[in-house]
Amino acid sequence: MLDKTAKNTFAKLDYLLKSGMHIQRDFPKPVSLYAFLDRHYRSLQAYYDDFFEMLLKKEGEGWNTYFYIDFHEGSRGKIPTDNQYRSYLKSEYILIGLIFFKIYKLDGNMELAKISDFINLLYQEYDELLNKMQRIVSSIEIDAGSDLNEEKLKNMVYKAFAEFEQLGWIARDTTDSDYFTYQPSFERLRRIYYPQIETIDEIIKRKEHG
Amino acid sequence: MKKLDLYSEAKPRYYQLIPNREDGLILLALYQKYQKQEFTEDQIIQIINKVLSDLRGSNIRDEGNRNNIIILRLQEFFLWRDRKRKVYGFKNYGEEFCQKVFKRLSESYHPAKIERLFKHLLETLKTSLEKNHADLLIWIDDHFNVRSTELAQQIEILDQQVSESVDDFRFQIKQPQANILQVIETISTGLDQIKKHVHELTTGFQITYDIDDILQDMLKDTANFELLDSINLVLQYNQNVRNHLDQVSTRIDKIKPRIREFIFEFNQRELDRKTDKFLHYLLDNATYIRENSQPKRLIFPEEIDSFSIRIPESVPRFYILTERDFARKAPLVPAVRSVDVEQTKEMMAKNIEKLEIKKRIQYWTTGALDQIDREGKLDFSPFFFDILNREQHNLNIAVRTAQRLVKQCNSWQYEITVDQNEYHDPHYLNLSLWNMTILKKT
Repeated sequence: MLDKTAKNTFAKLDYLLKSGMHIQRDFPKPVSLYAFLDRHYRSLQAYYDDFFEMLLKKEGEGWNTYFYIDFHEGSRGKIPTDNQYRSYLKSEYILIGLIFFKIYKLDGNMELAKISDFINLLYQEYDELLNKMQRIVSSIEIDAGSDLNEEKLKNMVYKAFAEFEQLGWIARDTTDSDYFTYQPSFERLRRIYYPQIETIDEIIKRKEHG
Repeated sequence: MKKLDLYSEAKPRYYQLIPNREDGLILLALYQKYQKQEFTEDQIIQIINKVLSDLRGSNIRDEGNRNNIIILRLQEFFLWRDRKRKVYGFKNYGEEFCQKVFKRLSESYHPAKIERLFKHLLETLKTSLEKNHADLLIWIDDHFNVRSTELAQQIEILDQQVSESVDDFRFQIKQPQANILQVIETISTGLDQIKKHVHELTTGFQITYDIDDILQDMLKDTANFELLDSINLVLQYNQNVRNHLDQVSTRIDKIKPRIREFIFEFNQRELDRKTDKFLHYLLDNATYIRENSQPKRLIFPEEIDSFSIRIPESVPRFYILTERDFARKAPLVPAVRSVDVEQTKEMMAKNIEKLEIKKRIQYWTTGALDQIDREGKLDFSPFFFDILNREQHNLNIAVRTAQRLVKQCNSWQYEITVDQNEYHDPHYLNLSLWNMTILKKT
């Protein structure tokens, strides 16, 4: 707290972290947020642990390092953690996030930089994923929007990306919100399900045997 | 050039002019094998079968009808047939088509050639202008138009090389045995190479600025005003070509850091495979529940938790109160009200009429009650028509009196009987009433 930058940086950083933001080198700006975290990680971690019983975490390596407060694990925290007090990432957004992660990361579509291109790619090259997602979309009740599935899916993808931006997983272009840049913390979406992913073969086996 | 509506002329015979994928590949395979030589129908059929088997991934049966259709279609513009000798060959259009593809694919990037081309352009421009400024038009025709496509092609080749690298990368990392580190290494070097070429091209394209300078100087001279369009054409072209080159460079700059991201995760093939499986598992097993008339909610199978992203209570919320302005407010201007005399009169007349009717109803009701008190009974039906008669047929008064009367007599003191025989009055043929009698109980 003796650091000179603390005065300018801490309030904003604290607010962002508590809002669920993931912080990495390129996003959110300014870089001083990331630099401050990186420099004082140990003491900040202790601070959040002592005063809020919150878990400040650091993941990723090198250039891909990111920080966040883990609200997911356990029931720590001095803040009431009853389920009704928590905000969950909507299940449909998790699915969209994983589909995007697969297409961008696992399949190496690294030139993908527009949400509309992502939707087009889904239509052009990912029949199976698209059909499965459409089955889900068609039975969902969206508050506003069109009855057409295509329109519904599109709206949902845009809403999901807005949420991902809130989390710091992607950065969107301020002048054209269709453009985005992938951020290293997107990996968190997968990381959170590592235990299930590691055991997916057994999970499927169990399911098949009732 | 002759005026021609290209769109409507081409529309009806599009597939004869521009072959579909199968036709096109058949043509290219034919050209590859025979070029300027002649060939027989059987030889065409052999090629058709070979191409279609390759495209559709299975052995194709020899289908005479299908083959005939294809051969007829190709004859329209691409092939000619010698009826007497029963042989085929390429028409000029067909040969050009195949050669264009051949040339485009075999072209490669030649930075030295580019520089030479530009130098040549600059020099010819200078010599043309020495004689006469209007010779610019000749220069455009003889030199510029001929070379400009070739130059643009060089940039296209680089752009295509970037695409090829990216596609190759996508393909490589999908291979189960891929050595990701090596793949990344290869593509990085490849991109660096392309980037170097872009840089070389940029240097070569510096000459376009010299050309720009000469042309812009010409613009200053009013005598050259009629050459304005031609000058603009060249300036615009130079501008585009430089922009395009810039784009290739930016594209590479964008890709490189993303490739770097993969370096840290090269050892995750197994995890990636399972992630894919996990995603499909979620998609297949997601179900809906509906709780207390809330909208339907998508949920995952029980082993999979939902993802808690924040605890809203932990986020400080700021309520911004704006300072109230306690300064004296300007006095309100009193609203000016006026009286609409006409309307008041009208309302008055209506109200008086209503009161009058009320009075009459009161009068008849009292009369009826008096009669019941006096005589112990009232036959209401004739009384009803009596009212109508004496109130200028005002049905309103009669009906409301009846209503009132029934209401007032609805007590232990009176008894109302109704028999369902209809009572008619000769003056009112369209009206009929059941016989109603009111008795006073004693």
